[in-house]
Amino acid sequence: MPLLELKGLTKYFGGLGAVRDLDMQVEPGEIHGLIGPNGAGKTTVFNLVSGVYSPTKGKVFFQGEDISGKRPDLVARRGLTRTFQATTLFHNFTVLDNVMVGFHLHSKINFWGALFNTPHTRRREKELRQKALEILEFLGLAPMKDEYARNLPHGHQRALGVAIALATEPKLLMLDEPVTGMNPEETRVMMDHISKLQERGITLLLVEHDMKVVMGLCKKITVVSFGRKIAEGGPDDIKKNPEVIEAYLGGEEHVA
Amino acid sequence: MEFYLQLLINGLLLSLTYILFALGLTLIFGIMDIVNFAHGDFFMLGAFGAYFFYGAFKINYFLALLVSMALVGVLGILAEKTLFYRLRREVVLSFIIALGLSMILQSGTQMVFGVPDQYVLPPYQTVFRAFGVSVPMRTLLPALIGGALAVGLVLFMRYVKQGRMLRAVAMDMDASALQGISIARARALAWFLGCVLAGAAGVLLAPMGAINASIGQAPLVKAFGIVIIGGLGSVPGAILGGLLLGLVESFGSAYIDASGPTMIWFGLVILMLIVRPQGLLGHA
Amino acid sequence: MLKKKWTKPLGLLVLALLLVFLPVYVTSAYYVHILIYIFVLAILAVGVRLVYTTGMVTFAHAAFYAIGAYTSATLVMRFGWSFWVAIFAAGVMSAIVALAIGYPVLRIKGVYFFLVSFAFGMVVFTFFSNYLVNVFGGPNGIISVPHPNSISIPGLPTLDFVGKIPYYYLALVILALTLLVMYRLDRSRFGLVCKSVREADNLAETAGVNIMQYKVSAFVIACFFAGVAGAFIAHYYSSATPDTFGFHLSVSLLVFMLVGGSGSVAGPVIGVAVLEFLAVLFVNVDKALGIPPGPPEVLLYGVILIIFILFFPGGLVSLPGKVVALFKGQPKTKKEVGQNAVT
Repeated sequence: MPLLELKGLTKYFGGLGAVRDLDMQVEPGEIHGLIGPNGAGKTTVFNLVSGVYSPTKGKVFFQGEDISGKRPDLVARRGLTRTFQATTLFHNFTVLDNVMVGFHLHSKINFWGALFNTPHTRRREKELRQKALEILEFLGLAPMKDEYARNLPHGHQRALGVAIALATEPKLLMLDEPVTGMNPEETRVMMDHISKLQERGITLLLVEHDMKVVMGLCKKITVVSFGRKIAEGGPDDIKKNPEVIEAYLGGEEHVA
Repeated sequence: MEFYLQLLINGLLLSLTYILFALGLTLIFGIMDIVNFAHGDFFMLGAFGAYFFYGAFKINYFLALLVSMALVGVLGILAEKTLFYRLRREVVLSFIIALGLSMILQSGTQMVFGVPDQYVLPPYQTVFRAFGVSVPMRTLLPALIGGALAVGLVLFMRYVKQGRMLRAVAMDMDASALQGISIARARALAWFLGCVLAGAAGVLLAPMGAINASIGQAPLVKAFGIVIIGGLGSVPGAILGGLLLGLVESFGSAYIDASGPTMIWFGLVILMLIVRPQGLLGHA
Repeated sequence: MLKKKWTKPLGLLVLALLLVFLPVYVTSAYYVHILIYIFVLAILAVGVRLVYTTGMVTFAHAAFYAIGAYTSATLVMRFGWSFWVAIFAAGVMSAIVALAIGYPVLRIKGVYFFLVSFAFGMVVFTFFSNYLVNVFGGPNGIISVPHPNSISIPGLPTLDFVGKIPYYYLALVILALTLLVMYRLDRSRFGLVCKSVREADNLAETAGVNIMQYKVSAFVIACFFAGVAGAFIAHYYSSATPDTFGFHLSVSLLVFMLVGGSGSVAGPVIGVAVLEFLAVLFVNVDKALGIPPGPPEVLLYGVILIIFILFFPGGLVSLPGKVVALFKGQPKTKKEVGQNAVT
């Protein structure tokens, strides 16, 4: 059974079809790429799957369960989360606190526990802080745990976005352009992280412009153009596919 | 039948001055998301302009109107250039600053003109009667001038280059800036026009009642409702909202008790904010 | 030298002792009244700040204060309830109304929420001024609200609510409890999640936060305390009139928060204390100069307000840090106008 399955997914904004009749399957354990020229509807797919938008038509299944149009927090609760394209972070929080919010679903601390600061609460907070530090260590952010998120360099901000997502303990993590705006060194580090996430058993769905990254990481790639799927397959098939080349030449971008 | 006609006409006349006031509020909001809490005080200053130029100095009524409008408009530009120019889409901060400005304008006015109420006589006393409906000149004239100004603003926004510039900035500030529109100039223009309209409303309504430093509060509260119903930042929305309020007040006070219209009106406002926060004619 | 860890609790202890023994030294009823009113305003202002931590700027807080006042006065006078039960019921009543309107209304974002809360405040004001006049008394409000019932604990002298001193201690106790709850919430995971909703609600949502649940909870808790404060003031003033709970109070509460600083629970409290102290100072200066109180101080108040918003966006509480940073020559923090902003 695929971990994530989109069946005839369609989204219209006014009269404009941003995503049209999209079928796609993400198998457990893989790194799946979703590519396409600008405005192809990739981010809309993310928003439909993560619950920001409700689909006009079609369904989203996660682990066989229909999650179409469910609120983002309910989707996250089921083990599906995402990062954001822009550097969406809790900018005025410390790095550590950013990750602490990520543990929301697993904190096991209720309102009254928080209010009265019970021994259980204190113990749990300590445990969570430890787990947060492990995640930060893993992504190379531990040295700056007390820094405000807004003061981090761009590459580290993107890594922090991934750290927050990891704290929710996802089965499927959707990364929206994780290396955009990064220099080659930062890009290499991020690619390294992504491979390690797969080794940890997390399935990844990746939207990315940088073809080197997509071709280097993904075994399976889905190509969309004007909201429709135009090709699917391994990196080599995609590179040779005439429709893909056509779509990208039209969009003034070249397949590497 | 005549009764309804009278109510309708009363409502329409009432709404024209509301519209004038609300247009300024919506213009200033449209450009920079500034909820101008001091808008009522520019109205109040207009009323004092009428008192000072027309009432005390006996200048021609229409000249007094023009002079007051110009002065209040310049004061608006001054407020923008000294207090608001640093704020970009910061609703709460600009609101509090406008509140401070309101305190300064009101107490400043009291220091100059004194605390007790002042009065201005209406320039014309004629009452027109036809079809069993009576319309006194003192409500007709403000409504006519107010209507003309409102139409003038709509035409300005549609056909004059500067007006179109304002609309462009209201729609998308960043894109307008990229196209070479001076945001600073657009803001100053919006404040000028907004305050000119508030000042005009103040002059026109000055003969209707007592003039003191706090007379701007009541129209301000009403105008908030108008722009919410019509759509914050929307010029046609302010006109529609103003018409609605005029009619609700005119018919409401005839059929229900005096506070009925207020309740209905704020009920409508809350309903609108829940169902369609962008208002009837605003865009999300 | 004391360790840094201890300076804060010690400072609070000194402040608490000072407040407890203050009435011994402050014998003027006028000043005791000012202090009581500062306590009440502080209870309201920290509530406005709690709502603000979730990113919502409420303009309706005076309305919930009013609901508490009218609820308690009605329960005591019409149904013969004890004040001690009614004051709690008043808080619950405000919380219930907050819950009922919270779900539809807190969905609305930014400036629209700001305006809807304003409109709600106007509706409540109009309602109490004009409707059910035989119950709520119209524009004159409910008058002759009785004092709280005396407390008699065996072995101790009976506590009667005569004069201002018992009210002073009651207000102080309510304020202390409110601050304790607010402080605990602020420092806990609940507070962190609330603030995450303000910082980036879309990110909080993908981290599994039910943002409506947090916005509504913060709103309901804040309104509960506003209701309790309202009940207190109705019995303290012996009346509940619409004018006590007008629109200007809601505005002032926001001002207290922004001038004091919204970054901590202490901020709004300091804002209340400083601005109210300033108001008293103005009155005294007028007395000393032999001029009637009037417009000049309002003008000055307006100027101070604008200077604070434009030049001290972190509020009064941020000043010591800034002064220290200035002397140490550290780079200024990147806080610009708009740290407090909601769009």
